[in-house]
Amino acid sequence: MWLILCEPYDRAAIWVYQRLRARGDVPTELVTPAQLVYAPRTKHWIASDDAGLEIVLADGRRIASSEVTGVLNRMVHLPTDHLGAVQQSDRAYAMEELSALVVSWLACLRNVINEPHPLGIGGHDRHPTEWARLSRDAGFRLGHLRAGAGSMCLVLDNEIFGPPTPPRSARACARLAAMSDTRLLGVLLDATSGDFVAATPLPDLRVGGPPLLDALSARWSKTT
Amino acid sequence: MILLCGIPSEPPLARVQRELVDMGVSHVLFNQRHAANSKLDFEVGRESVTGTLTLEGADYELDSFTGAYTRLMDVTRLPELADEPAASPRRAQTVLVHDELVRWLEVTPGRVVNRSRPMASNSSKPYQAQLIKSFGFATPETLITNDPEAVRVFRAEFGRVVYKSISGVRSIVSELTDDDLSRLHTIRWCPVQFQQYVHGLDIRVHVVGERVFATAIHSNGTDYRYVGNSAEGEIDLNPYHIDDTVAATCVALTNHLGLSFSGIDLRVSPDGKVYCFEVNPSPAFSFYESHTGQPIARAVASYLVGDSD
Repeated sequence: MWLILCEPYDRAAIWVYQRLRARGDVPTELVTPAQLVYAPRTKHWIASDDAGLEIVLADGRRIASSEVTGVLNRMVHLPTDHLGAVQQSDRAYAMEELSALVVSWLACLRNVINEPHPLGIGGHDRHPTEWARLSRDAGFRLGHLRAGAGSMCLVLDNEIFGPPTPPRSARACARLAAMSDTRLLGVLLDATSGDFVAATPLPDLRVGGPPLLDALSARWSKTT
Repeated sequence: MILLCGIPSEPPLARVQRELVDMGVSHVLFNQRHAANSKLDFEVGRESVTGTLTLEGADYELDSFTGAYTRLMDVTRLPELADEPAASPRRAQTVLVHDELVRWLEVTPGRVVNRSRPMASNSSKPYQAQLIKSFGFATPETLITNDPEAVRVFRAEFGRVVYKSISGVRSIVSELTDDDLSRLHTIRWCPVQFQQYVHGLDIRVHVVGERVFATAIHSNGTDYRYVGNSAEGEIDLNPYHIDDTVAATCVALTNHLGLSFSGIDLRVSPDGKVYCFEVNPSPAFSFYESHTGQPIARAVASYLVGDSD
């Protein structure tokens, strides 16, 4: 099973889900953070020989770590509605607990793109100053975005997708993704100079087109 | 120059500052409680990170700081902000300078003990446990669930079971009792972490760079950290010799997590198996140092000034 974990408004993730599901290679399920958090039955274990999970969603679907071979993780935040009647201090504690749990859930699944981090369930986004420092170390010159002059390229495991990118910038993009421990990274470049402008672990995946879908499919199929 | 961040009277920070004074190392203290009178500006340029920290009217060039030790408490809990309205300029300035400070600590090339990103692994204990397992330490059998029946089955299998927080929010580790079973249905609202109780000797290992300080803790409580607070509690701490392999694993794990200073909680079971419960990225080492005399603060101070061991 392949899992697409995303917000219900995430058109880029929904695009991936629809295209992969249409291909019919592997059963593909889309699950929102709310469906995960409100699951009526969840079990997550860390044993001496393995770690895993089993989640039964309210609509009856079942997610078992043993059956999941690929995950596109685009979650941004976890819902709090069900804690509305709880005291403020308890609510804050419950949210910390849920967030910590979801991060650990994802850590026990195979082939998660992007892997979670306690600083961000959809992967660790960084402040622009951190991206700037990393991009400099990756070999970029720092640029300034001019309106309409940006060009987004995607890096997936050292491979570049999207519009043609100058080789020097492409190499720097790959280094930046590796240095930031981000398997799938969107890098916004100045379209003219190729200089670094911004980066995000939650890019618009449609930029990558069918080649990106092929690459995701290939990576997730390796463990099928 | 070394930058210390936190509240001056807080024991770990105070101890490191005392060592820096003894070593004759120049340092500056960013007192969180005076943050409203502080300012920090920096920029990431093509060659370096530059900027200025202003404390009580004095300016310090950021690139003059070669090391930083942070013991920052939650800014929203500072006493100085308790009576400040939500939109007060004083509150806003205090939060802003903390935000800027944390951002600068992430990008400065100096030695930082510790940066916030690597510290975050401790925000999810089961996430960190999965990292710990990959280093060869044993971890207790763990179940996190919102299913009361699953907990009953788990308890039946392991006998003694404790429950504790999943997140980095500190909780008192407690044993699951027969009385607790009657309120087990409440976990349906929020999953809870249960763990097999592991018998054995508690060892706290502090790693500073490549240096290792191990302390044995003998206590009569489920969670030794709180034993001293109870009337009948007894606790005894002593320096302890751990074998080289365990020490090397502690150093490797600390490095892997991106930390230069850690407090690792181990328990050695009667059959010699070494369990690791967690890696604390901001250890309150003063408790252990004050009981044993182990020179942990000196090691931190030495690390900050660039000593390799």
